[in-house]
Amino acid sequence: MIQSRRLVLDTLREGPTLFAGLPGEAVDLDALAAHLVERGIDGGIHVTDGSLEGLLWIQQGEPGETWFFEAAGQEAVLPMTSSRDLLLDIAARGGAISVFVGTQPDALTARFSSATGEPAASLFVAGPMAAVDTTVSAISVEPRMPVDGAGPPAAAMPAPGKQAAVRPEVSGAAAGPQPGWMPPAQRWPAILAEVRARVARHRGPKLAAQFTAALTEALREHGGSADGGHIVAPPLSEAAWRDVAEAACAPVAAVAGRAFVDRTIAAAEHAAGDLSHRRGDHP
Amino acid sequence: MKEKLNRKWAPAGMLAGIVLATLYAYGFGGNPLHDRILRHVVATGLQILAPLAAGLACLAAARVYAPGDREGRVWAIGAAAAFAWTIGRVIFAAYQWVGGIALPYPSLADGFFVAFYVLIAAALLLEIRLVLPLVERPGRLFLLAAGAAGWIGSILLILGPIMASSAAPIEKLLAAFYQTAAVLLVPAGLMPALGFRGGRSAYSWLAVAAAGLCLAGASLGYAFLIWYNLYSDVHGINALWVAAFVLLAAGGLWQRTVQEEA
Repeated sequence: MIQSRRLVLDTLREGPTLFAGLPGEAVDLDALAAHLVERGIDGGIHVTDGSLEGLLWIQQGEPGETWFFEAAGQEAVLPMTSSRDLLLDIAARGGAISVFVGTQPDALTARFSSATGEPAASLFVAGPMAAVDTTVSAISVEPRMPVDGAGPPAAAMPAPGKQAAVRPEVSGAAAGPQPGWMPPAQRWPAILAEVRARVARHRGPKLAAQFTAALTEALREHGGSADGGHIVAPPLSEAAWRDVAEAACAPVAAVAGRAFVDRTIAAAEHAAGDLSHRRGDHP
Repeated sequence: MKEKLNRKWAPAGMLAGIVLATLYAYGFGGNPLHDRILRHVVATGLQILAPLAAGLACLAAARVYAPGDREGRVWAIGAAAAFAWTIGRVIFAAYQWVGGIALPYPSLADGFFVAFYVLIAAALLLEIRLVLPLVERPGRLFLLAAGAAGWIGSILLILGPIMASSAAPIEKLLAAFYQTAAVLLVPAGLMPALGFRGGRSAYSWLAVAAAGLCLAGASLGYAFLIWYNLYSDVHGINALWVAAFVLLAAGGLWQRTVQEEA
């Protein structure tokens, strides 16, 4: 089915809403984007001031395209300007910020990537909107993971249709990283070290050694290493770290089962969060 | 919190109750007749209750795994084995209390006892396949040698006279099968314990290996006492059957705890 970009946005807005109608001037947009990136939440940050709308996609732990629309529903033909500046401008003009959970259609991502040549290096992508095809094949709105363990985001947040009436107070949690938050480069080594300790405690050092060997192998693909309890890796996205964890846990899952691995990773994430919270390791 | 405590301590309390009842049923001698009848009743109940508890504990362990987890299947098969033994014991008791047969051997009940050994051996083989890469060659060889030595010893000391006698072929076959299966359960249970050595999961398999040891002792003792016409329902050797299933139940419950507290 062929859909316009506007229809994609409308469908996205009908799906799970993480935040609705936050006052633009009170929200640190950079921190909000960084928060979604670090938590591996797929979706879009939507900013509108009534006359202009912007949508920044966050996909698989990476910021993606930025779409702009006029109030009439047409895509804006914009000069070559920074998307980030324009989004900030919309927000500063009394705009409302919402975060919707969903995935960007693959077909459009591929076209955009080929148009720009390489993936975005910064959080906000500058790009000539006129160069982007305005039709896409489909959209799927599906949360990849519960947010903060509170269940599906849609259940916890106001429905998109009610966002005009709902203007919640902006908390630190909504506008930026939460206490105990760590970037993946610090958080995942701590989680994996905790997983290793738990595997050793429950299943003995032999299986823990197999975990370490698989972890070393998985990190090597990214130029990292796991020497004993010391894990070294270059900056990786949340999705890449999860892939590394999955590969490292494969020998454990084969013996102790998937349920054991899932519980262990969840407990290790919790323990790593507690540890950083106690140390005050948050930006 | 209260529910968690109940989940943890209620089964442990039940096992403790079985142990106390076992001490009563098999631990005293020379009691008056009315006490002896009570001990018969308690002993029969224990021989059914203990494998039932073991089956439920193994089932509880199997339920904490995700569908498709191979180790979950090990505990599920272990549960089926214990339930097979339970059914065999019910039939055995029915022969005694309803049919008036003092020692129903061999009987239909033996079909379920054989099923128990086949299923428990299958479960242990599945587990050994999982943990074999974790056990070093000297450990494997030692367990293999220990199993072979135990089996040869049991054949020479206990089964030799039975095999040389004029007992019915089915009795000889069953006696040889029970001894062989029970003796080999010990190293089979120790193999995963060796693989997980240093981890909390090793204790589950130590309990399974100890259960195998009790089963081997009970089987050998059973064969020996029957051969010399010394066997009775309240003989102390029967406590080993109960102990075996209490240990199997403890192993299952511990495994569930380890999996849940990952």
